[in-house]
Amino acid sequence: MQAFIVRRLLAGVVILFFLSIAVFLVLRVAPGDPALLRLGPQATAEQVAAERERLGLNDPLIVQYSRWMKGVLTGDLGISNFSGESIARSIRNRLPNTLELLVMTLVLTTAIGITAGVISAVWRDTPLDYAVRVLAVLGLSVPALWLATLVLLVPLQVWGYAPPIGRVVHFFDDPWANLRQFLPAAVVLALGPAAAIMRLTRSSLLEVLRQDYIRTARAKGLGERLVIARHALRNAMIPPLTVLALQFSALLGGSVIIEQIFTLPGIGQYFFQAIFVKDFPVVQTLTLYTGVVVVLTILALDVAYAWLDPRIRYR
Amino acid sequence: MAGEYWQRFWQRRLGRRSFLRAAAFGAGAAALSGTLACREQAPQATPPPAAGEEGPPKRGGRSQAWSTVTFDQLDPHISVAASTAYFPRVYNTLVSQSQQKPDFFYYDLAETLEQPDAVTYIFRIRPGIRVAPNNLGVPERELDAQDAYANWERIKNEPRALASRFSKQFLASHAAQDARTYVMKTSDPYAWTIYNVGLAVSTIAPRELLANPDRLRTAGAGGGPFSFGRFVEGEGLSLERNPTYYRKGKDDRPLPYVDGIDVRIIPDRAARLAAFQTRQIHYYTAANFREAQQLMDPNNYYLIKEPIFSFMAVTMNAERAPFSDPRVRRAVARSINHEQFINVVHLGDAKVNGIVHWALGDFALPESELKSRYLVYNPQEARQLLSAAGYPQGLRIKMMYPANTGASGGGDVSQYVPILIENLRSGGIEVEQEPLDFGTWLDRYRRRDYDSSLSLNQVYETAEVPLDWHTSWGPAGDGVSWNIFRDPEIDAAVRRVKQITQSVQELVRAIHDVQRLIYSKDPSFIPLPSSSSNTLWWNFVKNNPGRLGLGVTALFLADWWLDL
Repeated sequence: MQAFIVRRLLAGVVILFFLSIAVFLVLRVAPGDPALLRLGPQATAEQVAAERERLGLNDPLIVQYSRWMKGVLTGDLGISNFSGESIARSIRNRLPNTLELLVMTLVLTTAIGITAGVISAVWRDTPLDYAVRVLAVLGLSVPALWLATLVLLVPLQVWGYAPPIGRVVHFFDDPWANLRQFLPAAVVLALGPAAAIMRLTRSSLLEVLRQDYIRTARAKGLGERLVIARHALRNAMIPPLTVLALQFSALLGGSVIIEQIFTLPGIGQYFFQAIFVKDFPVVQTLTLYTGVVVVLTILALDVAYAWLDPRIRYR
Repeated sequence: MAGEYWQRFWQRRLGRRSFLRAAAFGAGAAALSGTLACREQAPQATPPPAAGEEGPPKRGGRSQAWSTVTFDQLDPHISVAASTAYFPRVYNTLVSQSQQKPDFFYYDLAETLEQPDAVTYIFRIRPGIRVAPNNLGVPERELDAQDAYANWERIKNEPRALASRFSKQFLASHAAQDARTYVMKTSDPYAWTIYNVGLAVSTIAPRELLANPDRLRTAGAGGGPFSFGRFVEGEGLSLERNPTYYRKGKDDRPLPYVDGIDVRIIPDRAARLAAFQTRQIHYYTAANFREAQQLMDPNNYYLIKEPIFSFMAVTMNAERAPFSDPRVRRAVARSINHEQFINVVHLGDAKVNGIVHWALGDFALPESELKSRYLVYNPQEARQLLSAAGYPQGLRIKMMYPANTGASGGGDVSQYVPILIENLRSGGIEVEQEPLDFGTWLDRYRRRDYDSSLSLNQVYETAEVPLDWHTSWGPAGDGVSWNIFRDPEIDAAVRRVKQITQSVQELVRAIHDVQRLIYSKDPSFIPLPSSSSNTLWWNFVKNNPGRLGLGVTALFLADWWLDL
């Protein structure tokens, strides 16, 4: 197992190297001048040229890339072209918001998805199963953007209620206000993946419940609750776990739309703004950061497979 | 708030009768709103009563503001984003002249202004304007002429300074003659000198702050009514009351009345509406007058309508065929139905724009003249012009535009595109669309790498830049970027306009004449109609500076209060 992890980590480094080159080149090949976007349309040609020089955009590509990589490897993520703020500090400011949203979303996704999946499988082909499946289809098909707007506007119209907007209330300052702020966003983010997990859990559990060892467990007199909880569910968890892990890596990179709508300044919002103004250092660094998260998440997932299913062995 | 919410929730019991009553009421309301929607008219602003009628000013409370875009930094000379609106709250201008009401001068750091000749401006610095208490190491001293000199010196030498165009092109010399006298000399008479002096990005910070640009980027204190407080990049900004601000209110008590201002970044419209209706923010700018009308509740809100100073425009690259032919440019102009944009994009709440947009009041040509002479929709004439220009079968053109973008002057770019395409088709011009992301569009537009464009424009608070679009030096003034039209007669006429410094009436007349001249040359830059902003304010915000219609100059006023 250790050799496997080391091999995968080395492969991850190679992937990240190519990712860094790809994002670096794509940003520079794409049309649009960051200096012009920084200065605005009234800037003169002379001002734009001076700004390009200041931002180092006139240097050869290899020099620009080396400068960036040297910074990344020495822990200096650089300065935003747009705000002049340290990228590391901006990420540090925003990461807690993204992490809180992530934790809430994963808890909700897991709780709703797995519970509904188990209910649906255990009471297969009953009205309860049909109801859960219809809800799952709804959860999968309703766009998060629309749902988020509804979550804001319906309580406003019906009860005159809105969550705290535009100013982050930290959990330890005011837990209730913090939950009111983050929970609606987490619910919106969780519904789609929860529906997917529900469907995967259901089909996976149904398949496991047909296995011989489950029949054996029942034959030796174990209660149905114990059979499902101890013997069936663990083996049925591999497909839902994959979805959860992928959602984890996606959310750690921030959720652009939801963070925008609920005005939660997280990594997704930072990424979005940086792309809009072609803030090269920020886009490059955040892409690399997302790459690291994905590589590590997939590695953790592979390890988790082995833990969940003893038949899986890595060499 | 949460307790009240659950209390209300549990108190709501829905019986059969109340359900039927609600259904009947809903149906009635739907029918009534349907009827009204067919007959709606743009609402008039319902400005708050004047200060005297609003009762005595009250002290305390915090104003809750918002921005749709993030703050890049707080450097008053370099910042390009949301923070520019807050520099007048923290620092001082020498003097600010409202372009909307050119007779209104707001004397701030300068208590008087003398103009002994057409190029000399003598500012007498007001005594008693002290730097706000701060922890930035800036002494709480009086601001003087050296501060004005240091700031304008920086503006002149800093390549990124937004007011550097004025300082480079027109500021010949400047000096602090003594602690109370600051003198500026322009190289030529220049009509918009005071406007440039009074810009939010020309405000005067204490010179000690200028010596530390890193600190200036994230904090600030000056002689304005507030100081910068908490600044979290991406999240927002707070401003705190300056207890030593020099100005007093009408009740002779020191300003500002409010304890501070909190500015949140709320990019999403639905979130802004929710925040406004729950009093988390104190104003909300509706998407258009129809939304303002729907939300309007006179018991709680008042509406302030202000002209929007930006607009969309059709731009043709006159350096390229077929637009190098004035007949083709006129054919395009004759194919545009401005009334249709007013009715469809702006729901009737807009006005046509000439070379100088209507928001600039007297400087714009009269609407009747524009409609009868220059903005005439006549597709038959357009086809005849095309035929005479050698395109009897009509013309196919490429038109780029920034997609997925809010339009300048109201509406959305996606609303403009189909109307424009249909209009041009009626005149015999088929459009091949080139939708681009904003950055790509801006880059190509600046390099003149296009045939034609549906273009966003910035806020133009003076007639200068709209006129510059038609000159060989272009709106950036460098003769390289943007400019697409070269005509010596227009250049000379615009130069003459810029030199009028003695009389507003003369300036108005000259700006009208130069617009007529530009129209006679079939311009390659055709502004489209623009609307007004419709901002709803909670009625506890009293003595609102927005009611005065002063444009940027209103940002320097600090005499509003909250009657909470």
